[in-house]
Amino acid sequence: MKILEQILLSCWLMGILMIQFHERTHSFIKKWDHFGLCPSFHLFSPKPFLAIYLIRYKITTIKQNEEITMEDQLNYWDKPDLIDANQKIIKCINNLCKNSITTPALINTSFALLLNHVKNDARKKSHTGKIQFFILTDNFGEKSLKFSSKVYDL
Amino acid sequence: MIYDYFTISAHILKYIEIFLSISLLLSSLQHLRNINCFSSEGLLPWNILKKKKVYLWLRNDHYNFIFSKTGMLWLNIIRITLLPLFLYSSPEIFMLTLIILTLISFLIYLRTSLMSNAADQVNNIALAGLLINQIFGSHSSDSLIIYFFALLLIVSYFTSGLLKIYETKWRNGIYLKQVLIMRNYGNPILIKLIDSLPEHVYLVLSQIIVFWQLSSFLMPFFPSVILYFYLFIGLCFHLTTGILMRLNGFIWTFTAFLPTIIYLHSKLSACLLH
Repeated sequence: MKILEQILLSCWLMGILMIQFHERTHSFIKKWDHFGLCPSFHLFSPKPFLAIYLIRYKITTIKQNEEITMEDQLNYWDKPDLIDANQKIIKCINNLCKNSITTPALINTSFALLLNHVKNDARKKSHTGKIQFFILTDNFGEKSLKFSSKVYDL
Repeated sequence: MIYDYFTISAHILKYIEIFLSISLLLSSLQHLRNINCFSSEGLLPWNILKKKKVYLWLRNDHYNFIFSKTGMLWLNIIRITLLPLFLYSSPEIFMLTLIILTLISFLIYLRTSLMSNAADQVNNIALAGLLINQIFGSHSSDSLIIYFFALLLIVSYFTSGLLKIYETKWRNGIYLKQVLIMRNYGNPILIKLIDSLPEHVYLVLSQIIVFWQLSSFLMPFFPSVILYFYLFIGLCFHLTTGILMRLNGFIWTFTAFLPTIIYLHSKLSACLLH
């Protein structure tokens, strides 16, 4: 039994070690690693991701032939709480935005999740009309537009 | 005295269990605080998320309840409820508690992988490792799993250090300062204070971190005094990232594994002496 345990733990450790430096092993293991048992320990290296993603949306309402445009922004950075739950949201938004930007032309799942969230955030403010959202990268105050969505009905 | 305490495998395993429990509690509280994320109006509704390729094997309707907002609420509540049992139960109940806790943690990770970090992954490794240790019944005087945890910690530090050493901006402290003052991680109150520090402070700190991470694989071979010093730097490193960068999960998860290096050191010393 001890030998079996040794083999199991050695293979596991070898897998973890290989995904740190070997790109093909990394892609292969990550495809099957549903429970996070082989993590990458790059921890801000070699280059940390320094920008933050912002989601800004524009709502256009047409009332009595008059066009009203409202702009709002999803913001989790200025609302810290005791257990720092917002860190999870920030991490999630960053992951979703990263995915969207690599394939901006496609309506992928990350895009659909963001659209769902933005629409619901807008609806809370009782808006009706058309909505379009934008993903911006904020690199130490220097904002640049990375993605703009189509216009959707709210 | 600390050294002697951590040369006994049962003490190390208990210490890991305590720190792991705190980390799991914190993670579950964060999920409960963000529970609306998992509703149909939130950021991660299951009906949309399950369309991702990675969830192809979970598209069956049977999983809809487990991964709904209510399901996630219950999974996290059950996980929190199991933690006292995990820490204080008798050996017979411990095995069952560990199996359930591991399964629940795996399910939670599966659903929240988009918002999880390395600390959550290491929590799962710790649970799976403890379970393997229980299954193979090697919790006697020499637990293989403690060596595994020690080597895992060394791999994590060494990898990070090796990748940093090739980057000029890590060596001169520019990246360290930028990471500390960015809003993604930085504490809003402390960012202004950190930003006002002179540049050479970051240069020295960055070089200490990179050197410490790179030389981590030598820790088990150091004399005891230097080992203590290295582990103290490790403790300070995790406390600092926890406070300044709000990576509070890392404090508990990685600190849980620090004494495993003492265990590995003691066994290697004993081998070399004989």
